[in-house]
Amino acid sequence: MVKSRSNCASRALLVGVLAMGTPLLALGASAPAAAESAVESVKVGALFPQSGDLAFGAADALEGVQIAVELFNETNQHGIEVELVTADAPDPAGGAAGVRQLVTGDNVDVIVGTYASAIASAAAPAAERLGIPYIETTAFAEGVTRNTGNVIRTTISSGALGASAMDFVLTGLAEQLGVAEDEMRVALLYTDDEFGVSIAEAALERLNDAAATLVIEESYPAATTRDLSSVLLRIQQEEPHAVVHIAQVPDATLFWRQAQQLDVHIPAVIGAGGGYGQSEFAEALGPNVNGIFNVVPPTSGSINVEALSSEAQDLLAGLQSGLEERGWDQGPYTDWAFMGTWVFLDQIVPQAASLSVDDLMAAAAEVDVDALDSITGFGFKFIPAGEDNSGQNERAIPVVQQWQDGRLVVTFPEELAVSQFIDTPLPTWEERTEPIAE
Amino acid sequence: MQLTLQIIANGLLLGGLYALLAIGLTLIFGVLRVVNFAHAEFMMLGMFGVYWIWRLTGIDPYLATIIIIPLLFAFGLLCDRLIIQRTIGAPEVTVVFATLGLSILLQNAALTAWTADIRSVTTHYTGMVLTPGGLRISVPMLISFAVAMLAALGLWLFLSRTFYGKAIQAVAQNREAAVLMGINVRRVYMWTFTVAVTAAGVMGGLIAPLYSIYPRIGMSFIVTVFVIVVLGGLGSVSGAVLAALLIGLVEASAGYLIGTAWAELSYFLIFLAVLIVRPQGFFGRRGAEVFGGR
Repeated sequence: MVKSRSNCASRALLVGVLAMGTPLLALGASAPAAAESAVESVKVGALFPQSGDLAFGAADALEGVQIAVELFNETNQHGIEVELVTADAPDPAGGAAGVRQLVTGDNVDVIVGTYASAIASAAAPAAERLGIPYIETTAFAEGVTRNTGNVIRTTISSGALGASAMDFVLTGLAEQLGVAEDEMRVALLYTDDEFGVSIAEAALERLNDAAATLVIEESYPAATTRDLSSVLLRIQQEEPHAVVHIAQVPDATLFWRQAQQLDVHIPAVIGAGGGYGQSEFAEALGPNVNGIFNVVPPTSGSINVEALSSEAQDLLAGLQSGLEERGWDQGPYTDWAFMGTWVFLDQIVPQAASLSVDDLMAAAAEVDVDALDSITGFGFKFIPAGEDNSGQNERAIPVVQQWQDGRLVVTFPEELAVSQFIDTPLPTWEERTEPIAE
Repeated sequence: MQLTLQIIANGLLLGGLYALLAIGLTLIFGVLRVVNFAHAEFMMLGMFGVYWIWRLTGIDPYLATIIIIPLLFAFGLLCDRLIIQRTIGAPEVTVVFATLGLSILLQNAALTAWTADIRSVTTHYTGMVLTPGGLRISVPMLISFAVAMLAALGLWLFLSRTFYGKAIQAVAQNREAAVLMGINVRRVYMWTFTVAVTAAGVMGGLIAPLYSIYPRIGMSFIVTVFVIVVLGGLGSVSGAVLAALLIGLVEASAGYLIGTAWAELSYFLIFLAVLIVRPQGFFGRRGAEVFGGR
């Protein structure tokens, strides 16, 4: 079933961006000249999981940071030299240890991380205790900014992500399915780690304000779950209209394979970052991935990049050239980490009086980057120090993406959509004509 | 009724997966008195072996599983020669650190060689099911279950009906006495370890079409398999199979009745209850954990 829309993709993105009501400032154009910058050099410590379960997606994020630093040094518009050192953070304890290593061993000025919410939640306070600013480019957990005073987060928070996922279920999806909000039956399934719980809490909070019914709420340990047949049988019994599933690649893949085996039909499934946004998830499911939703901040792969400013397009070309040179892939985390690091180096550091937490937070509060000037399609404006959730990028707004022909495209909200809904509701397993084999 | 039968079927199939891993682990412990923390890493290697053969040549994963058997066997021999043989009779802490070290080494070797990328084997039978009496039985799960049960039966027959099998049992019961009877204990150890870790690799090959493949996949199985081995009785193949099926059933039914988050807790409670009543597990012998014990 396809929803008809008249708006053209590029115009929609432009309209959406303008609706945010912010002045356009091309990246780099607003930065002071080299002589004006009080900071001459910055030593950045990149803290990401390079081993362990989380190294898989984190590699993309680290690559994004590395290319941002290289590109910044190449252009050197502000006369600031950036040195990058890396540390492994396989788990929360490793994250805190990594901070100590970077700060006391490598003498970094600032830490950029972290990919995983649980690791960021341990590493950011560790950096705060040492008086070091922390730039979070990829982890979503709400507490990372809410519980600390040294974090500038360039990406979305779990609160916004969970609320947006549930908001989509109650509005755009309900309309598409032709179900009234008070008749909507929703299931929530999430991993019991910091990432899953923080998003689920926000989703539940949004759902509590609505007339819809929560029919299943289940969490599970992602690292040790080998069977999801039990929850799938409950889904079969309860017949929810939508399942919001916060998962990593292995459990998301297992969920869908077992759903097929047990012939469990779900009209719509909405992932919230994590596994549902990864190409490995799509590869595992083959054509059956089409129609599945994922709520995340947009990336260059899911928006119409032709609608971006020429500066943003140049920046994207620089990233892609760097990736191609090294034979690296471009994933969503590459984009978020690259753009977050770039904004920090290009917009915050040149305007800061020093690299202290206070001066960087003050400089961050002045940043005003429009969505069209960002390769990710979302802009940057940070909540000032002293206010609730300070350091959070309030322009990191999630969009609803849908897998279509094996790639994610933005389908909601309507003003940002580059494609119409497909397969909503999802076909039953019997109706699926394409084999699962490649 | 249909739902109950489906939950039982799901649980038994899951238990079958555990069984193939558990019988190798219990055999290694029963004979060598080695707690092999690296056991699930051999499963991971089997998964990667099958994945790469399938990916690079298009050979069916089950055929690829047969192809990797000699490779796994040779690698098992190498690990035995370099590590396991040197820990026999050593203090427990040495054995623990040796196999734990092997586990970490294999995980990180896989991470270095193949990165942390998550891979999947997807075939035309990945989602295939049989529907006897309206139940839905996954074909890949059923194949794994059948192989596990056949392997357990074959191993039981081998141990109880053949001269070499009885020699293995003799070593398991009393190493010193076995030596005095002229049994080449070192060779028994070598074959036992190698066959057991090959079985773990074969299990990896069989579950490759079911689960995502990544360097730390073994971590998600090993704790459960240790529970099964202890519950079944250290060194008891039939005990391991029974415990594996029980754990599978408990996991599936508790997951449905009280939630997936409680599934692990449920079988740990049963595990503790059984150990309170019968510390040696279902079919274990008291003192089996002691080297050369009876």
